Amino acid sequence: MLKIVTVCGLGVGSSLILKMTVDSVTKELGIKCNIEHWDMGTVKGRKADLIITTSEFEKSFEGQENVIFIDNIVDKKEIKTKLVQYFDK
Amino acid sequence: MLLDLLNEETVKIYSGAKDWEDAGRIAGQPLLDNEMVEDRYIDAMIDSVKKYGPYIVIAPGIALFHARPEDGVKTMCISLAVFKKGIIFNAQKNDPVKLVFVLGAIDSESHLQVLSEAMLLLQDSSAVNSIIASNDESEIIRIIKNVLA
Repeated sequence: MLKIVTVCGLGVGSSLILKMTVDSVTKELGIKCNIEHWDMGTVKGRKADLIITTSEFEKSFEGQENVIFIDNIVDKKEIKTKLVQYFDK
Repeated sequence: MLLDLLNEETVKIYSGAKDWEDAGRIAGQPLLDNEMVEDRYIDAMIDSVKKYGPYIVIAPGIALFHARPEDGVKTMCISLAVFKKGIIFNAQKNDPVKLVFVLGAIDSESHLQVLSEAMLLLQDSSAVNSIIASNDESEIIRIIKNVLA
């Protein structure tokens, strides 16, 4: 199954909020996936199909294609738009 | 759940702060005063922003400071500081910040309910605007109560 991870610095706050938002958006879109929330250390050492994180981390993922960056992590619309764009590619 | 933690002890209105670091320390003070976190927790959450950048600004005008559970959280807690004068976090599109939350989590999951209720609140832009405009802590708590009702 598709493995999505949401990522923030410590894996405690933002990534968990992002996980909840992504959870509800993927349900709406009918995307079957496992979603976990990780910290920056974990994401460097493990693999996921898709990484979703905040725009502040753009530099940390430079050159990686399977990453979506979000400005407002409680905004379902932004996440929905970006997920749809991602899967259309 | 959120309202068990956000009350007149932990919700405060301020005119402003010197900078983002000052804002974080001010917003965390009620958790120190109520012995919910240790001093080092506040330092750790500031250090985390210095290390990773202002990603704690999670939405336009809204910051969520936190560190790790092992950085000195005594009990799960959250505080909310409303700054009348917005604070610059250098957070691109999301500056200036007027609502600053400080979260103390005891593990990686048990604050899920608190965060999910906070999300409901933050997704309600008219409630967020009313909180920012309010000059009365008990009114802010009522606004939150209405959103979660």
